[in-house]
Amino acid sequence: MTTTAALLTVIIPAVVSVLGLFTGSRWRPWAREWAVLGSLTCLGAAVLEVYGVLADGPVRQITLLGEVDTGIAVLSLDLRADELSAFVAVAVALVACCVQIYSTAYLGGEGTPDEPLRYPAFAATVSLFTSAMMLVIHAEDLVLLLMGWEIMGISSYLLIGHHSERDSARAAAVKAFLVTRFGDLGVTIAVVMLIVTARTTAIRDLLARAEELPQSTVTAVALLLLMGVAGKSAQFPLHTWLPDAMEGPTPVSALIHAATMVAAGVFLVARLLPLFLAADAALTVAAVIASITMLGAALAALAQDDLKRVLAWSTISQVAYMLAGVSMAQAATDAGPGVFHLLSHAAFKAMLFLIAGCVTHLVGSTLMVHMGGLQRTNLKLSVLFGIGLAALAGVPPLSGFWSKETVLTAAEHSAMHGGGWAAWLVLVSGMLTALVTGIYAARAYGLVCLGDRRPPPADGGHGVHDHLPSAMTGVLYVLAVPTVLLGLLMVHPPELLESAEIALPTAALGTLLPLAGIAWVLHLQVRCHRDVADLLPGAFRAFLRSGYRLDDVQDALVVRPVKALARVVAAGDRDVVDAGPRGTASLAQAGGIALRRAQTGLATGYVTWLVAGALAVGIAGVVLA
Amino acid sequence: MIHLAGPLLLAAALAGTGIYGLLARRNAIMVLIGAELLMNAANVLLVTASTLPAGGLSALARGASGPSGDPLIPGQVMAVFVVTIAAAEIGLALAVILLLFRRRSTSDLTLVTDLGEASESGSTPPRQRDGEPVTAAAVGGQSLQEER
Repeated sequence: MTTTAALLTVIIPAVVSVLGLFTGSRWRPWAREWAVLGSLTCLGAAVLEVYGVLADGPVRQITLLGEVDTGIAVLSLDLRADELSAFVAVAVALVACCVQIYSTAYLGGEGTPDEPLRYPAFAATVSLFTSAMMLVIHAEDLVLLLMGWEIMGISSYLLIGHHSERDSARAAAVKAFLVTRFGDLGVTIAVVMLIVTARTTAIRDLLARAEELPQSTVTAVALLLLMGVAGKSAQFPLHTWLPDAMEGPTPVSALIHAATMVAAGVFLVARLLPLFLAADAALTVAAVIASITMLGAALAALAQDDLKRVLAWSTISQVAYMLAGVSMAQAATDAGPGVFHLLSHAAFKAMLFLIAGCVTHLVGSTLMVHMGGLQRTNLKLSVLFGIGLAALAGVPPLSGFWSKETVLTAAEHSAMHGGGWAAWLVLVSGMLTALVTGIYAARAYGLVCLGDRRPPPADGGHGVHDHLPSAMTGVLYVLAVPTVLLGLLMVHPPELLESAEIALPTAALGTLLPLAGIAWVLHLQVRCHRDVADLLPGAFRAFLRSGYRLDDVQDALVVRPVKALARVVAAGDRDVVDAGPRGTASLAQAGGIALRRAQTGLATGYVTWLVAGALAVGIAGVVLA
Repeated sequence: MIHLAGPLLLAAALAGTGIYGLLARRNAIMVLIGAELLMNAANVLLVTASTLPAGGLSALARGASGPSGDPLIPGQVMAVFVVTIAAAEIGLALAVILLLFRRRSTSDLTLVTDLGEASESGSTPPRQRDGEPVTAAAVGGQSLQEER
């Protein structure tokens, strides 16, 4: 049963996406039914997989494409199903399902001629995205994982650039593609190194033999993989694509941020944890990256004006928590805290993004200046929003509280038991981030839900609606269930999460900090009607809002040199390579023009040449004789 | 036996006159006459050369005298060929010049540059008929038809 279910989670979305992409207009009327039915079946299969794994134990090998002999190593392109893949699969399937249902309403209809909605292509690409993520989490072989990894890259490119008539959407899509591609380069090189040195890319072999491989190889491979992780999971310094990716439709943001794309990086570390444990340097680097990213991104989130960008930066920060959680591992079974946070984050972040889409639907803008008073106009939505933000901030007893505290406890445990300075860094940074998270979550809630209703945007907005379709609100309640109740996993944890523990002192501190932040911000907002971000100095706020001007740094360090190089190459092609053929042509042309002058048509002229030639021959004859 | 200088001087005078006629005259008839003179200079040289001893001028300088071998030596045979070809050539050339004169009412070669590249020499551009450039053959053919 486990075998079939795991295969179905990969194959069903793939089939649905192929049908949607290649059957064209013939099945357009049923595109919606196909997409929703496919994602529901996929969810069913994922749930069955969890049941099967919990009941019968993991299945190590499920034949998918069979063995491929590359001459240097035999790749077994198979799947596996264990607790890690099963739980993540449920999260992915649930979010994908909610996104599919939500987008039937969000992208329903035809749209305007200037901005067509293109629902069938959208739904098919979301299915492809889901399938790719399922392939990544079920892959038993790194090459197969890399395939899914790359398909995810191209799907994210397509989805972020879905509104391809907008320049900004195209630019964001290209940026996301290029930045994550740069990280993928590391994964590709790591896979090649593993094939060459270990002669295998099967994950079970790698995990079993991680200790036997040469230390330098393992460290290099782990660092290269970490590069790919930073790219996909949007960690410093490859995180710049994620805030721009907000150009995609809101359901795409929910999908990318909650379950598929950014989770893949953390998943990869969790999956290959023994390999990373054998390379201490890589785990330390991961911990440092995570510490920098979580605090930096949380501060950037505090200064944003756009609701979606707040959520985007908070995703970067929360994914850093997950990475910190897995990087604090001291044994192969210690992936629990990171994965737990991945699961709970999937639930509440998907909900938050879908709510942001609802608010945008009502207000016609994603800027928080145009929002406000949601508590009066739509109480249910504002309560759901509050629950999501509270989970994000880690308010007990919501899911985010449990998972975040397990991460902090893991950091504390590591710091106390020889984890070194990296563990302390994670712990301190994590505590501070918890405080900042509370502040920006409360700020978002205050700006969107409290206060009075603000005037709509001057240009009339982006399509203001009076009420929300039930397809958009219904899925919010579905996502609210795990957001609130996922902490119950701690009561009787499965094997995967057994390492996730909560130490009381750490948890108390990690809870009081965000609560204090929330209380302070709400107090400011309600009593003094002040936005907490206004307390920041203007220049510093702009600096934070622009994401530490890293885009400018990236522009100066990478984009401009590359463009200059491209110009040099183009000039070389034009002026050096092409000069040969073009020179020959113009030489012949110039010769033609010169010789053309000789053709006067005057018979006497020709005879003159004839006589001169004869004379020359005669003189030559005399001289040479 | 006459001295070698006489025929050679004659040949030189003929050739010089002929080249002058070829290059300097504008009248087609005079150019033709120049060509004929040039050809006759060659004839004189051929016949003269046939009287030389085997080995040519250098053998003569070494003291050899008189022609050797067959009297029907190549020089005289070649001269006969040249006369024959000249007869044929002059008939053809005169026919061309006659047609040119009928067509253009001139025998001035500087005015007939239709086959050259249209250039700053001031020649008339080739006439177009049915989109095809008018060639000398077409011109001759047409004028022949007109005669009939």
